[in-house]
Amino acid sequence: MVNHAILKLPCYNEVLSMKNILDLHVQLAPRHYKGLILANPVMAAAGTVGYGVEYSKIVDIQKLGAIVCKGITLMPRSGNPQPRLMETASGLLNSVGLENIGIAALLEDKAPIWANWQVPVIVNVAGETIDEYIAVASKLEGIPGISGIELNISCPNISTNSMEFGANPRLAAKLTSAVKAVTSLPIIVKLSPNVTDIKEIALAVEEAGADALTLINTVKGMAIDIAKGKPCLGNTTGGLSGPAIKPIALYMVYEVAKVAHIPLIGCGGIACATDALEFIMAGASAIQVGTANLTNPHSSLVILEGIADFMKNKGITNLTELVGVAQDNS
Amino acid sequence: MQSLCTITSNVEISPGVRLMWVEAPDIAVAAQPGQFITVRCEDFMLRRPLSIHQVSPLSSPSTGGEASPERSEGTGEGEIAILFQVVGKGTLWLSQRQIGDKIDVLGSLGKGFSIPSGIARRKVPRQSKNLLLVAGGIGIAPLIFLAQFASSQHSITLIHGARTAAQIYPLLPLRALRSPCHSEPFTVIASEAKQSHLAQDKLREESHPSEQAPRSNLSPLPQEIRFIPITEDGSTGRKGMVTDILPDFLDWADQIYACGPVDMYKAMLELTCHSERSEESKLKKCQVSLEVRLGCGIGACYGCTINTKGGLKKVCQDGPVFELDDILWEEVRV
Ligand SMILES: Cc1cc2nc3c(=O)[nH]c(=O)nc-3n(C[C@H](O)[C@H](O)[C@H](O)COP(=O)(O)OP(=O)(O)OC[C@H]3O[C@@H](n4cnc5c(N)ncnc54)[C@H](O)[C@@H]3O)c2cc1C
Ligand SMILES: Cc1cc2nc3c(=O)[nH]c(=O)nc-3n(C[C@H](O)[C@H](O)[C@H](O)COP(=O)(O)O)c2cc1C
Ligand code: FES
Repeated sequence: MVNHAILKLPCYNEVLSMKNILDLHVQLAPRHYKGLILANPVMAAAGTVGYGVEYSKIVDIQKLGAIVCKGITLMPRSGNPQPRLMETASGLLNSVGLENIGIAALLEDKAPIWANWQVPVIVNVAGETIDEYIAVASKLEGIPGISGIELNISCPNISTNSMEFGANPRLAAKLTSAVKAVTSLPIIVKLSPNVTDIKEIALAVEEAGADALTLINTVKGMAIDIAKGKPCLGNTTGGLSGPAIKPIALYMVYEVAKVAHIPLIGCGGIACATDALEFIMAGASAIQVGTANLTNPHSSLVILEGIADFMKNKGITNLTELVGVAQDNS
Repeated sequence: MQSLCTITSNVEISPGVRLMWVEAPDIAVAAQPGQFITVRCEDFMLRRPLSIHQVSPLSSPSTGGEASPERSEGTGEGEIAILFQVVGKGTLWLSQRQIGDKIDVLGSLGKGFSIPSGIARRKVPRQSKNLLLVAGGIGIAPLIFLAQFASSQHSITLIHGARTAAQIYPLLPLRALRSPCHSEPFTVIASEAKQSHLAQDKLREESHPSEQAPRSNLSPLPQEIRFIPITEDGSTGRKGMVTDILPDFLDWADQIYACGPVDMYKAMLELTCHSERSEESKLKKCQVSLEVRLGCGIGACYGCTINTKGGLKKVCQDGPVFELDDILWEEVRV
């Protein structure tokens, strides 16, 4: 960890010489025997860039640290009725409901494409029962093009008790170790903010073998159409994302960073490099960009550039120097 | 695909409806009628989808061959137009942009209208088809592009329904519409095709009497197109809804294209279902452009999925144009 010294501005020549030696690498799974090294800390959050294939036509996604694909379930899911999206003040409510192509189609159609990519692809896995998670995770074993699993124990959009996995430390731990037992891939567990004590859940899944944690998923919310006198979303409720949830997410990262021993991935409302740096300083080793991809498909790359510029300006050569500095300084 | 485009014109053509031209040479050459762009509006989370209303591609391809087309300043070439109604904060913001401002545009997106090639497989080769275009309100936006695109090969009738005369699409020469100081709403509305063309000719003469008008200065509608306005208050054209006069054209039409509110589609479904000539259902030949709230606009976020007879479809990628009878209308809640 670093101290106030990082805020000292280096002279111009120092900046020039540092350009080439900026180290943005992130080790996301230090406890894992294979590890999971990202070239930089900027990842695409699950559900906002699909399977990456669509975005690759618009943006050079190979430059990202990693891509997390749309949450995948054992069987294809058709999701929730329209409308599924609703803008709110500085935020977005979605009730997509985990519509996805199912694991079989993912393995057949998407994984072969990913196998030719240099950017690591992490598969976001969702399910309604522990057995379903296990089934999906086992199918991912040994598939080229897949670098890790992100367990979505927190999707607020499916009407089963899967929400319970995210809210109950014992169940979350049970799920994590069950999946850990069937895969050799690094496991990231994505936590829900819709809980009383996120630290308790974080520690439980860390104990159960999680290699890293993503926080947070969307915050449960809703909107009502007063002209019609009924909820705006077809599913009544949805998950809130975007800048509106950033302070919540940042606080949760900050809190969990105090107790966790595994890398944290900050996610929630990150729309610019400043946002990303706040999460890193709060204790996140990497960050995920979600809703901002919808607003501007290039935002992740702009954020990455901004982080690099900040480091250059501050004379920081290694990103890890920034991780958690706000903890030390508070 | 994503670029900052300079606004070259932004005019209110009828109350609350704006015609905006932007420099977008790549979109202008590649766009198909029925496709759309998304525009980033201020700081709003979601980009706003808008149909491509007209294109003005480069008249001569750049000599560079492969290189992306370059436009010469001020000619109006390499531009696209959008026609939008101010309905909320995003479109309000957009309506307030000035000439010279840049807007963030992503496009062209989606699958547009499919147009018969003009070569009938059956008896007569190179037989042109009768295309019936049905616009409800601002739904005129993509249909003007379609009319322009298909008019050289097909006979086209365009019905435009609106609440009142002022909302009927003005068939002004583009030059007039492009002028930033054009403020008076268009009043000369023809009630029938012939009159409308007379009015067009008259206006064209008034705007630029003797000059040989380049393509971008022509009226938005080619002369051969039959334009039929219909208003709910009868202030111009016939009085009623588009669906009131639609039956008169069903036998004439080989293919129907529609863009308008969902209620219009539902009414059309009824009509076309009960068409006399049921042996060759008109339903099979009606393409409609559907609107739902879009997230990414590129097929990645699953925000726009609808259920159809052919399974789940993404409006932004598999559409926005669908066959009328493919959509499960009872499930469409927009
Ligand atoms: C493929 C496609 C093409 C479109 N083409 C055109 C066009 O050429 N011209 C045009 O004027 N409009 C078009 N629309 C509709 C246009 O996108 C919306 O009117 C616009 O997004 C509203 O933004 P706003 O911020 O002004 O309104 P908001 O403040 O977001 O909402 C105001 C009202 O508009 C409705 N609305 C918002 N977004 C949409 C949407 N995506 N679809 C339907 N209703 C919406 C809301 O329900 C609300 O009642 C198109 C929509 C789609 C999906
Ligand atoms: C349209 C949409 C779909 C999403 N789908 C998933 C998903 O399938 N799995 C998941 O774990 N999170 C999903 N999320 C949550 C995001 O990955 C992210 O955690 C959340 O949106 C907060 O980040 P943001 O504010 O940057 O968007 C989705 C979010 C959105 C907006
Ligand atoms: S709007 Fe994202 S998939 Fe259609």
